[in-house]
Amino acid sequence: MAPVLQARELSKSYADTLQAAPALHGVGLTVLPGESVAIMGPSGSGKTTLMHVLSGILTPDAGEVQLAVGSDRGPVALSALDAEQRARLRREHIGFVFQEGLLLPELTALENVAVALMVSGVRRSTAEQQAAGWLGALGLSGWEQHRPGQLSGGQAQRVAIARAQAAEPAVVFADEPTGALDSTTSEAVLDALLDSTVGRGAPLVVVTHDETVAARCARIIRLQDGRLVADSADGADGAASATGERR
Amino acid sequence: MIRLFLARAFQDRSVWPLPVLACTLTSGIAFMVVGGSRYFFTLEHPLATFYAVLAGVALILLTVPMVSLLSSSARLMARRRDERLSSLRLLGATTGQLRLLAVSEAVLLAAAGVLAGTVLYVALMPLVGLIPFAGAPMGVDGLWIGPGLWGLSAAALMLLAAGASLLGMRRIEVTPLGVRTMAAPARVHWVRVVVAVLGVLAAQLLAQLAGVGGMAAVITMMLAAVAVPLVVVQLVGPWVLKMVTTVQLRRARTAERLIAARSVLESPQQMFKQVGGVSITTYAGVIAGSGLGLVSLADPSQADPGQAQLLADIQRGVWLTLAISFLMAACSVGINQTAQLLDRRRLYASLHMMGMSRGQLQRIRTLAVMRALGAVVVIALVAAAVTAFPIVGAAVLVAPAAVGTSLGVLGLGVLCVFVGAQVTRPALRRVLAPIG
Ligand SMILES: Nc1ncnc2c1ncn2[C@@H]1O[C@H](COP(=O)(O)OP(=O)(O)OP(=O)(O)O)[C@@H](O)[C@H]1O
Ligand SMILES: [Mg+2]
Repeated sequence: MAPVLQARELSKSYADTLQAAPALHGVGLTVLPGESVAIMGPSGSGKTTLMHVLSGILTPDAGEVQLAVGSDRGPVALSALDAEQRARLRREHIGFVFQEGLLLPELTALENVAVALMVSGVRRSTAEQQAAGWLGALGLSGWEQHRPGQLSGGQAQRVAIARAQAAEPAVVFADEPTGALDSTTSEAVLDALLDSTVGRGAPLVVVTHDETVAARCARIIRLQDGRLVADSADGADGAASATGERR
Repeated sequence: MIRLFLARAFQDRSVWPLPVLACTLTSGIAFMVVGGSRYFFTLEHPLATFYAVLAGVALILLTVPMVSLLSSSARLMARRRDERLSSLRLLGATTGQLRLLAVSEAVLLAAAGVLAGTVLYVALMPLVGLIPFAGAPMGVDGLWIGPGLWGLSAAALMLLAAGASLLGMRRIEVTPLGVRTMAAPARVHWVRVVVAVLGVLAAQLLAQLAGVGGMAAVITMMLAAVAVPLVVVQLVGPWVLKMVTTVQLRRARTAERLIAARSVLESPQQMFKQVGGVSITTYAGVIAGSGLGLVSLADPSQADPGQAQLLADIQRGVWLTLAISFLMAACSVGINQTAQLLDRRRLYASLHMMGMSRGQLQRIRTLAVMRALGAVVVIALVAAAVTAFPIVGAAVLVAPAAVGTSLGVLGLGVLCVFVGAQVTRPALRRVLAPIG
């Protein structure tokens, strides 16, 4: 299977920090279709930085990220794109879920999802139809006209997942998607996230502190001080890798 | 404890610069308006009383944008205060102590703004002084407010800041766990329209009862003519804005337009406070401008120079009032939008991460402001054309130049507010800077 995401020798330092150690140092990663990858590591180990570099939010100081987007096109090197092109790539081919949902509070649940499609030029009626479909698929039928403030944390996070999936992106990134939820809700939300991403054959990359969340993913990689120190996909630990299977 | 709290306030750059800037602009404009009014009230001229009455009308018209600019300054002061207060509550401060802190902080910030505003006012005096009235430029001397009036105005501004912060404190409950808003925000209701219509009827009745002659009648008439529409517009404006924006929301075809419409609908009152101040000046300005255009056409050969000058003065006064109201709206927009943007920096950063371009994000703000302003101005224009149809209609036909100039001033005003909305650009750039 051709990888969706391929990163080599990624290094990144923040210009404005006092510490000399880079946030990322020589990290490489290959992600296959339908694979679920948990990124773990202590606070400050570079998890968010890695996710941002992989998704074209940050440009690495060294190394390269290639993303296979679209059905017929080959891999695209992020370094070959300018800021505007990378923004377009993010909005059309990458889905994001953040810890606090970060929905637009004055929009309804339906509009929050539809807007993610409309920014890429999808007609409003089509966008709203697809949005309603995704909300339904995530168990939110009947909640379309509610505002984020009227939803529970778990519900809001499922709206955020619907928003991330709406454009059927080639890959979905989630930074501590269950970090603000209790354990029961957290499990349901993670189920929804895994089903909606891996279920349609796209890979999911999830940053988490939570071992139970990580255990649900097919593959776990660990960072420490900006270096990749463990990857369950290689070596003898033999965890189910690259199969897209859960449990 | 007060000293510690205030010192912390001034260390935190997210706390003080915006409210102080807001207060600077507010007080700078306020001093200029007061100075200008004083000029007219103390004018030595055969028609001094007439000038004074007109200046009074302009002053009344300008109170609304003035008050909303003031209240947005006050709101900005309370912006970061709540979270800091709740941490003090955790340390065991009493409600009284918290009130005292809030008020002293507001007064201190207002004082800094008033001082800077005085500098702004003095710096602009030579320029504004070039505008001629009653045959001569107003001049720096004419615009100088004098120490007495300065003190009074400054005290009034600081008192307002203190009062607003106390009012703000009453609406929230500070607990160790955080700050809770006690009352839900007011909803825009059609009751406003009913109240407004009753107000108009009452004023008409009053004007009839006052009957003929006497200063009382004149004053009643003036109140009916100026103050009542003013109140009516304040009551009805947000409701109308809500209706218009609801239609815009339904018709929105792009993400930017949809979000812009929703953000206006979130609080039509809030948006009306920012741009609604121009409604009444636009309304009055178009009618007065048309009327003056007609009068000055009446008999150009026979007009005596004194009268011609008076007409030109009134015309200039109308345009000046219009321009000031738009300037205040532009300040209000710039300040409020920047504050909102900074309050939502995480949300905006996340939207940019998801791939919304900086241009798209900026467009949301510009659209929200300009479409609301557009609605306000168009409605004011239509209202003027309808209620003063003979005057405006005739002016369009026989004095198109005067009408055109009024529209030109309006256009400049709209441009001014547009610039006010663009002031958020650097803040947006800073919020999005860490993202490639
Ligand atoms: N915008 C930034 N500017 C400067 N330094 C940063 C910035 N973001 C992160 N860093 C630094 O880079 C390193 C890695 O940060 P990163 O946010 O990637 O860690 P993380 O693993 O996501 O941590 P956490 O679990 O706390 O979210 C840290 O030392 C952090 O201080
Ligand atoms: Mg992180």
